[in-house]
Amino acid sequence: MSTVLTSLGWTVWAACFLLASIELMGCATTTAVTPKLVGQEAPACKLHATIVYDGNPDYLPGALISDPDAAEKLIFRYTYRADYGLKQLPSAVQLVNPLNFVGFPTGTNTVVVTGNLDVMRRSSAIRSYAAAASVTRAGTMFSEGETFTAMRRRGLMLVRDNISGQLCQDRLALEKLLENTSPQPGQDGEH
Amino acid sequence: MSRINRASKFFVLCATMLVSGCATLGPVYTPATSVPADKATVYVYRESGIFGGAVAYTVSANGVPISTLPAGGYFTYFASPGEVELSAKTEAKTSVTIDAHAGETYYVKGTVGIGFFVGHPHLVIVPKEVGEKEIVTCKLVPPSNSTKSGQLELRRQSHIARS
Repeated sequence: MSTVLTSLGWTVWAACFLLASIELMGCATTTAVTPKLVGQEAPACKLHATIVYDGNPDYLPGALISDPDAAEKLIFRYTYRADYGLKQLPSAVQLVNPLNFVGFPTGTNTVVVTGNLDVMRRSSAIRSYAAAASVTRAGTMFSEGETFTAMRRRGLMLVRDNISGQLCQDRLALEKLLENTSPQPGQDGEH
Repeated sequence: MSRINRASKFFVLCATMLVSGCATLGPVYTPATSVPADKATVYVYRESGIFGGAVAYTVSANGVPISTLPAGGYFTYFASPGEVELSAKTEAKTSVTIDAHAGETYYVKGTVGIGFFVGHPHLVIVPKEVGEKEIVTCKLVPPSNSTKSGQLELRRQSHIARS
């Protein structure tokens, strides 16, 4: 009798675990960023430069500080793009799937954000930095989780911080470039 | 006899429930001709289908309700440049943000997914080539289906377009 109860107990536990896993799987938002920054986390740095960017200032890499007095011959141009994907199970499957009642995913939403930072001199890029972030979440019959707006924001923040990290890792070379192009005292124009 | 009556009542009830979600739609899609120069054009559309066909939801732009979106309908929204958040809500919320640039055209597709009591709305930005193909069968959501603030906004926009 006790053996039967024990095995029944295990079955109930296993079923609960499975249901909880399915339920939690439906709520999770997963993120991935590329490139992975190698080595130690880059220290925070600030680069004062002329910036060309027409988006929300929240999404501009934090290492870039807009400076009207900076060398105009070197321009940092930042652009980003967000692509959306909505994958839903076929309507017929959604309607008849009994697992919907235990939070089985009914579809997935994906946002892929790409960011590009070009360091321009005389309208040609002399250095480029890029990053991409993918944000995915699954919706269930009970909850849709994060909206595309929130996922886009999350992706833009990840890309922003990644590019900031890349800039700080490359800071010495960039500072050299900025020094070489800043106007010298008594000079007004390029030689 | 009473059984037949009961069955016909049930049938009428079901039919009423199904039809209540339907909306009278206007003419089939034609691209907007008079677009204000300083605005972006956003087409919000929803293909017709049996699944979720009875569910119509209100679409808001930056929190201001602009129009309902029934199955098979579309409406045009002229957005100011910048971030524009389009959202809709039944028992769950959906929202998508557009980086609107003046002179550009965007397509936002609405769908309905399964929900516990009511279908969940979904809004997603689709590429131009996809939107252009899918919207052709959709019919204009008449201004009477727009919300009050939406009617004001659409009237203001058409006034701007004329002048």
